[in-house]
Amino acid sequence: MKKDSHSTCESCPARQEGIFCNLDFDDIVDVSHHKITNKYKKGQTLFVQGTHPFGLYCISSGNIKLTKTGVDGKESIVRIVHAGDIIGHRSLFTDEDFGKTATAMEDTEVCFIDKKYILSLIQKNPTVALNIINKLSRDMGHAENKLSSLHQKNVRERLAELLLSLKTTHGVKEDGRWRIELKLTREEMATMIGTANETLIRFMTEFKDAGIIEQEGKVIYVKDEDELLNWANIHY
Amino acid sequence: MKSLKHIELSRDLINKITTYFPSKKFKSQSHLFYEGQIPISGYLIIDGSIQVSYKKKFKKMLNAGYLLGVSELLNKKPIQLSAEAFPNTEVCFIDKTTLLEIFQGTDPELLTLFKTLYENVV
Repeated sequence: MKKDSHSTCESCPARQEGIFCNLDFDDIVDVSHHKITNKYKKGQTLFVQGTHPFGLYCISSGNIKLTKTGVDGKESIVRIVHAGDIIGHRSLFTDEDFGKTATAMEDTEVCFIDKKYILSLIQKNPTVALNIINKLSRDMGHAENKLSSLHQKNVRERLAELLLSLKTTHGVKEDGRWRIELKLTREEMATMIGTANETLIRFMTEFKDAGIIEQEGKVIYVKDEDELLNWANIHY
Repeated sequence: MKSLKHIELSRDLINKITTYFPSKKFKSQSHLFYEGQIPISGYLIIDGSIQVSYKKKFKKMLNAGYLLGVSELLNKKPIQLSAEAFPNTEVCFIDKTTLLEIFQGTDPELLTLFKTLYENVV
Protein backbone atom coordinates (compact mmCIF):
# COMPACT_ATOMS: atom_id res chain seq x y z
CA MET A 1 0.00 0.00 0.00
CA LYS A 2 1.18 3.49 -0.81
CA LYS A 3 2.44 5.33 2.24
CA ASP A 4 -0.05 7.90 3.57
CA SER A 5 -2.19 7.83 0.45
CA HIS A 6 -5.17 9.26 2.28
CA SER A 7 -6.85 12.61 1.92
CA THR A 8 -5.49 15.76 3.51
CA CYS A 9 -7.54 18.20 5.63
CA GLU A 10 -7.00 20.90 2.98
CA SER A 11 -8.80 18.81 0.36
CA CYS A 12 -11.25 17.01 2.66
CA PRO A 13 -14.75 17.04 1.11
CA ALA A 14 -16.19 17.52 4.61
CA ARG A 15 -13.91 20.41 5.61
CA GLN A 16 -16.55 23.14 5.40
CA GLU A 17 -18.89 21.20 7.66
CA GLY A 18 -16.26 20.13 10.16
CA ILE A 19 -14.87 21.67 13.34
CA PHE A 20 -11.69 22.87 11.60
CA CYS A 21 -13.48 24.95 8.95
CA ASN A 22 -12.31 28.28 10.49
CA LEU A 23 -8.65 27.36 10.87
CA ASP A 24 -6.11 29.19 8.76
CA PHE A 25 -4.09 27.32 6.16
CA ASP A 26 -0.98 26.70 8.32
CA ASP A 27 -3.02 25.21 11.16
CA ILE A 28 -4.98 23.03 8.75
CA VAL A 29 -1.70 21.73 7.30
CA ASP A 30 -0.48 20.98 10.83
CA VAL A 31 -3.68 19.06 11.65
CA SER A 32 -3.29 17.23 8.36
CA HIS A 33 0.26 16.15 9.23
CA HIS A 34 -0.74 15.02 12.69
CA LYS A 35 -3.98 13.13 12.04
CA ILE A 36 -4.20 9.46 11.17
CA THR A 37 -6.56 8.60 8.32
CA ASN A 38 -8.00 5.14 7.96
CA LYS A 39 -10.54 3.41 5.81
CA TYR A 40 -13.09 1.20 7.52
CA LYS A 41 -15.05 -1.46 5.65
CA LYS A 42 -18.74 -2.07 6.25
CA GLY A 43 -19.24 -3.67 9.66
CA GLN A 44 -15.83 -2.74 11.10
CA THR A 45 -15.91 -0.93 14.44
CA LEU A 46 -14.13 2.34 15.24
CA PHE A 47 -14.65 1.83 18.94
CA VAL A 48 -16.69 -0.37 21.23
CA GLN A 49 -19.05 0.63 24.04
CA GLY A 50 -17.22 0.58 27.37
CA THR A 51 -13.73 1.28 26.00
CA HIS A 52 -11.78 4.38 26.91
CA PRO A 53 -11.59 7.35 24.52
CA PHE A 54 -8.25 8.91 23.74
CA GLY A 55 -9.04 11.05 20.74
CA LEU A 56 -11.52 12.46 18.30
CA TYR A 57 -12.80 10.88 15.09
CA CYS A 58 -13.67 13.12 12.12
CA ILE A 59 -15.76 11.52 9.40
CA SER A 60 -14.40 12.29 5.96
CA SER A 61 -16.78 10.12 3.94
CA GLY A 62 -19.42 7.45 4.49
CA ASN A 63 -21.91 6.75 7.24
CA ILE A 64 -21.31 5.41 10.73
CA LYS A 65 -23.94 4.15 13.13
CA LEU A 66 -23.68 4.68 16.86
CA THR A 67 -25.37 1.89 18.72
CA LYS A 68 -26.04 1.19 22.35
CA THR A 69 -26.35 -2.35 23.62
CA GLY A 70 -28.74 -2.85 26.52
CA VAL A 71 -28.41 -5.31 29.39
CA ASP A 72 -30.57 -7.74 27.41
CA GLY A 73 -28.02 -7.62 24.57
CA LYS A 74 -30.41 -5.72 22.31
CA GLU A 75 -28.74 -3.16 20.09
CA SER A 76 -30.41 0.13 19.19
CA ILE A 77 -29.20 2.82 16.82
CA VAL A 78 -28.81 6.07 18.72
CA ARG A 79 -27.47 8.20 15.90
CA ILE A 80 -26.10 8.02 12.36
CA VAL A 81 -23.17 10.28 11.56
CA HIS A 82 -21.78 11.20 8.17
CA ALA A 83 -19.13 13.32 6.44
CA GLY A 84 -18.28 16.46 8.44
CA ASP A 85 -19.45 14.99 11.73
CA ILE A 86 -17.20 14.21 14.66
CA ILE A 87 -17.56 11.39 17.16
CA GLY A 88 -15.93 10.64 20.47
CA HIS A 89 -15.94 14.30 21.57
CA ARG A 90 -18.45 13.92 24.39
CA SER A 91 -16.59 11.03 26.03
CA LEU A 92 -13.32 12.83 25.39
CA PHE A 93 -14.22 15.90 27.42
CA THR A 94 -16.01 14.06 30.21
CA ASP A 95 -13.25 11.42 30.34
CA GLU A 96 -15.92 8.74 30.54
CA ASP A 97 -15.81 5.45 28.64
CA PHE A 98 -17.55 5.34 25.27
CA GLY A 99 -21.28 4.93 25.85
CA LYS A 100 -21.83 3.63 22.35
CA THR A 101 -20.26 1.46 19.67
CA ALA A 102 -19.36 3.09 16.34
CA THR A 103 -19.66 0.83 13.29
CA ALA A 104 -19.11 1.66 9.63
CA MET A 105 -22.34 1.20 7.62
CA GLU A 106 -20.44 1.21 4.34
CA ASP A 107 -16.83 1.86 3.28
CA THR A 108 -15.88 5.00 5.17
CA GLU A 109 -12.86 7.23 5.61
CA VAL A 110 -12.21 8.49 9.13
CA CYS A 111 -9.48 10.69 10.58
CA PHE A 112 -8.28 10.34 14.15
CA ILE A 113 -6.68 13.07 16.25
CA ASP A 114 -5.38 12.33 19.74
CA LYS A 115 -6.77 14.12 22.80
CA LYS A 116 -3.61 16.02 23.72
CA TYR A 117 -3.34 17.53 20.25
CA ILE A 118 -7.03 18.53 20.18
CA LEU A 119 -6.75 20.23 23.58
CA SER A 120 -3.67 22.21 22.53
CA LEU A 121 -5.38 23.14 19.26
CA ILE A 122 -8.43 24.41 21.19
CA GLN A 123 -6.18 26.57 23.40
CA LYS A 124 -4.56 28.06 20.33
CA ASN A 125 -7.76 28.36 18.27
CA PRO A 126 -10.90 28.91 20.38
CA THR A 127 -13.04 28.72 17.22
CA VAL A 128 -12.46 24.94 17.26
CA ALA A 129 -14.05 24.84 20.75
CA LEU A 130 -16.95 26.97 19.50
CA ASN A 131 -17.51 24.59 16.60
CA ILE A 132 -17.47 21.62 18.98
CA ILE A 133 -19.97 23.42 21.27
CA ASN A 134 -22.11 24.05 18.20
CA LYS A 135 -22.07 20.35 17.33
CA LEU A 136 -22.78 19.35 20.95
CA SER A 137 -25.72 21.78 21.10
CA ARG A 138 -27.19 20.38 17.91
CA ASP A 139 -26.71 16.82 19.16
CA MET A 140 -28.45 17.77 22.39
CA GLY A 141 -31.32 19.33 20.47
CA HIS A 142 -31.72 16.14 18.41
CA ALA A 143 -31.59 14.01 21.55
CA GLU A 144 -34.28 16.16 23.24
CA ASN A 145 -36.50 15.99 20.16
CA LYS A 146 -36.08 12.23 19.99
CA LEU A 147 -36.92 11.83 23.66
CA SER A 148 -40.09 13.90 23.37
CA SER A 149 -41.06 12.03 20.18
CA LEU A 150 -40.75 8.69 21.95
CA HIS A 151 -42.97 9.99 24.77
CA GLN A 152 -45.52 12.06 22.89
CA LYS A 153 -45.84 10.62 19.39
CA ASN A 154 -47.27 7.39 18.05
CA VAL A 155 -45.35 4.99 15.80
CA ARG A 156 -46.84 6.45 12.58
CA GLU A 157 -45.68 9.95 13.54
CA ARG A 158 -42.28 8.72 14.62
CA LEU A 159 -41.76 6.85 11.35
CA ALA A 160 -42.77 9.94 9.36
CA GLU A 161 -40.32 11.98 11.44
CA LEU A 162 -37.53 9.47 10.82
CA LEU A 163 -38.13 9.50 7.06
CA LEU A 164 -38.08 13.32 7.05
CA SER A 165 -34.87 13.33 9.02
CA LEU A 166 -33.24 10.79 6.67
CA LYS A 167 -34.44 12.86 3.71
CA THR A 168 -32.71 15.92 5.19
CA THR A 169 -29.43 14.18 5.98
CA HIS A 170 -29.19 11.63 3.17
CA GLY A 171 -31.75 12.72 0.57
CA VAL A 172 -30.93 13.29 -3.08
CA LYS A 173 -33.51 14.94 -5.34
CA GLU A 174 -34.23 12.66 -8.28
CA ASP A 175 -37.12 12.91 -10.78
CA GLY A 176 -39.36 14.90 -8.44
CA ARG A 177 -38.82 12.63 -5.46
CA TRP A 178 -36.18 12.24 -2.77
CA ARG A 179 -33.98 9.17 -2.84
CA ILE A 180 -32.64 8.28 0.63
CA GLU A 181 -29.01 7.37 0.13
CA LEU A 182 -28.76 5.18 3.19
CA LYS A 183 -29.61 1.52 3.23
CA LEU A 184 -31.06 0.57 6.58
CA THR A 185 -32.46 -2.81 7.48
CA ARG A 186 -35.99 -3.10 8.87
CA GLU A 187 -34.48 -4.00 12.26
CA GLU A 188 -32.31 -0.90 12.25
CA MET A 189 -35.20 1.38 11.33
CA ALA A 190 -37.40 -0.23 13.97
CA THR A 191 -34.82 0.37 16.74
CA MET A 192 -34.45 3.99 15.62
CA ILE A 193 -38.12 4.71 16.37
CA GLY A 194 -38.47 2.32 19.29
CA THR A 195 -40.88 -0.16 17.84
CA ALA A 196 -41.10 -3.80 16.82
CA ASN A 197 -40.05 -4.99 13.39
CA GLU A 198 -43.55 -6.17 12.48
CA THR A 199 -45.09 -2.81 13.44
CA LEU A 200 -42.58 -0.96 11.29
CA ILE A 201 -43.34 -3.16 8.27
CA ARG A 202 -47.07 -2.52 8.73
CA PHE A 203 -46.63 1.24 8.80
CA MET A 204 -44.20 1.23 5.87
CA THR A 205 -46.91 -0.51 3.84
CA GLU A 206 -49.41 2.13 4.96
CA PHE A 207 -47.05 4.93 3.84
CA LYS A 208 -46.57 3.23 0.47
CA ASP A 209 -50.30 2.68 -0.01
CA ALA A 210 -50.89 6.38 0.73
CA GLY A 211 -48.39 7.30 -2.00
CA ILE A 212 -46.08 9.12 0.44
CA ILE A 213 -43.09 6.88 -0.13
CA GLU A 214 -41.92 4.35 -2.67
CA GLN A 215 -39.47 1.51 -2.34
CA GLU A 216 -37.23 -0.10 -4.92
CA GLY A 217 -35.30 -2.92 -3.35
CA LYS A 218 -33.70 -1.49 -0.23
CA VAL A 219 -33.88 2.09 -1.49
CA ILE A 220 -36.60 4.33 -0.07
CA TYR A 221 -37.96 7.34 -2.01
CA VAL A 222 -39.93 10.16 -0.40
CA LYS A 223 -42.63 11.15 -2.90
CA ASP A 224 -44.82 13.52 -0.94
CA GLU A 225 -42.86 15.59 1.56
CA ASP A 226 -45.81 17.82 2.56
CA GLU A 227 -47.97 14.86 3.44
CA LEU A 228 -45.06 13.31 5.34
CA LEU A 229 -44.84 16.53 7.39
CA ASN A 230 -48.56 16.23 8.17
CA TRP A 231 -48.18 12.60 9.19
CA ALA A 232 -45.19 13.49 11.36
CA ASN A 233 -47.36 16.03 13.17
CA ILE A 234 -44.59 18.60 13.06
CA HIS A 235 -45.63 22.20 13.60
CA TYR A 236 -43.06 24.89 13.01
CA MET B 1 3.86 -13.40 9.08
CA LYS B 2 3.36 -9.93 7.66
CA SER B 3 5.57 -7.33 9.25
CA LEU B 4 4.52 -5.76 12.53
CA LYS B 5 7.15 -4.11 14.67
CA HIS B 6 6.65 -5.37 18.18
CA ILE B 7 9.19 -5.74 20.95
CA GLU B 8 9.19 -7.09 24.45
CA LEU B 9 10.23 -4.58 27.10
CA SER B 10 11.83 -4.87 30.53
CA ARG B 11 9.77 -4.16 33.67
CA ASP B 12 11.74 -0.94 34.35
CA LEU B 13 11.02 0.39 30.90
CA ILE B 14 7.34 -0.55 31.19
CA ASN B 15 7.10 1.35 34.47
CA LYS B 16 8.75 4.36 32.89
CA ILE B 17 6.39 4.35 29.89
CA THR B 18 3.31 4.14 32.14
CA THR B 19 4.32 7.39 33.81
CA TYR B 20 3.98 9.14 30.45
CA PHE B 21 0.98 7.33 28.99
CA PRO B 22 -2.34 6.27 30.57
CA SER B 23 -3.22 2.60 30.80
CA LYS B 24 -6.80 1.34 30.56
CA LYS B 25 -8.55 -2.00 30.71
CA PHE B 26 -10.69 -3.24 27.81
CA LYS B 27 -14.09 -4.23 29.14
CA SER B 28 -15.05 -6.04 25.97
CA GLN B 29 -13.31 -7.54 22.94
CA SER B 30 -12.17 -4.68 20.75
CA HIS B 31 -10.21 -4.22 17.54
CA LEU B 32 -7.14 -2.01 17.87
CA PHE B 33 -6.73 -1.88 14.09
CA TYR B 34 -7.80 -3.76 11.00
CA GLU B 35 -5.68 -4.95 8.08
CA GLY B 36 -4.45 -2.08 5.93
CA GLN B 37 -4.94 0.52 8.64
CA ILE B 38 -2.49 2.80 10.39
CA PRO B 39 -2.72 2.31 14.17
CA ILE B 40 -4.19 5.42 15.84
CA SER B 41 -1.95 4.84 18.87
CA GLY B 42 0.96 2.73 19.98
CA TYR B 43 0.02 -0.04 22.41
CA LEU B 44 1.97 -1.43 25.34
CA ILE B 45 0.36 -4.53 26.84
CA ILE B 46 0.41 -4.27 30.63
CA ASP B 47 -1.73 -7.31 31.34
CA GLY B 48 -3.72 -9.79 29.23
CA SER B 49 -3.40 -10.59 25.52
CA ILE B 50 -3.75 -9.16 22.06
CA GLN B 51 -4.45 -11.44 19.14
CA VAL B 52 -2.82 -10.67 15.82
CA SER B 53 -4.44 -12.11 12.70
CA TYR B 54 -4.24 -11.99 8.92
CA LYS B 55 -7.30 -12.56 6.74
CA LYS B 56 -9.19 -13.70 9.84
CA LYS B 57 -6.59 -16.40 10.50
CA PHE B 58 -4.74 -16.45 13.80
CA LYS B 59 -1.08 -15.43 13.53
CA LYS B 60 0.26 -14.59 16.95
CA MET B 61 -0.72 -13.88 20.54
CA LEU B 62 1.05 -10.95 22.16
CA ASN B 63 1.19 -10.85 25.95
CA ALA B 64 2.23 -8.45 28.72
CA GLY B 65 5.36 -6.44 28.02
CA TYR B 66 4.91 -6.20 24.25
CA LEU B 67 4.93 -2.83 22.54
CA LEU B 68 3.36 -2.54 19.10
CA GLY B 69 2.23 0.01 16.56
CA VAL B 70 4.64 2.82 17.51
CA SER B 71 6.76 2.84 14.36
CA GLU B 72 3.70 2.53 12.10
CA LEU B 73 2.00 5.40 13.94
CA LEU B 74 5.00 7.71 13.60
CA ASN B 75 5.62 6.76 9.97
CA LYS B 76 1.91 6.67 9.03
CA LYS B 77 2.57 3.20 7.70
CA PRO B 78 -0.39 0.81 7.30
CA ILE B 79 -0.14 -2.64 8.90
CA GLN B 80 -1.28 -5.63 6.85
CA LEU B 81 -2.49 -7.39 9.98
CA SER B 82 -5.31 -6.85 12.41
CA ALA B 83 -5.06 -6.78 16.19
CA GLU B 84 -7.78 -7.45 18.70
CA ALA B 85 -7.69 -7.00 22.48
CA PHE B 86 -9.45 -9.51 24.71
CA PRO B 87 -11.67 -8.43 27.61
CA ASN B 88 -9.77 -7.35 30.73
CA THR B 89 -6.60 -6.71 28.77
CA GLU B 90 -4.81 -3.68 30.21
CA VAL B 91 -3.11 -1.57 27.59
CA CYS B 92 -1.06 1.59 27.75
CA PHE B 93 -2.10 3.96 24.94
CA ILE B 94 0.90 5.70 23.42
CA ASP B 95 -0.43 8.82 21.73
CA LYS B 96 1.38 10.59 18.93
CA THR B 97 1.53 14.02 20.59
CA THR B 98 3.24 12.73 23.76
CA LEU B 99 5.57 10.61 21.61
CA LEU B 100 6.66 13.68 19.66
CA GLU B 101 7.21 15.50 22.98
CA ILE B 102 9.47 12.64 24.10
CA PHE B 103 11.48 13.07 20.90
CA GLN B 104 12.16 16.65 21.97
CA GLY B 105 12.67 15.73 25.63
CA THR B 106 15.55 14.77 27.85
CA ASP B 107 14.85 11.17 28.83
CA PRO B 108 17.66 9.32 27.02
CA GLU B 109 16.29 5.81 27.64
CA LEU B 110 12.84 6.49 26.19
CA LEU B 111 14.28 8.63 23.43
CA THR B 112 16.57 5.79 22.35
CA LEU B 113 13.75 3.23 22.48
CA PHE B 114 11.27 5.21 20.40
CA LYS B 115 13.94 6.53 18.03
CA THR B 116 15.10 2.96 17.33
CA LEU B 117 11.53 1.89 16.59
CA TYR B 118 10.97 4.90 14.37
CA GLU B 119 14.19 4.60 12.38
CA ASN B 120 13.93 0.85 11.86
CA VAL B 121 10.94 1.30 9.65
CA VAL B 122 11.84 4.31 7.55
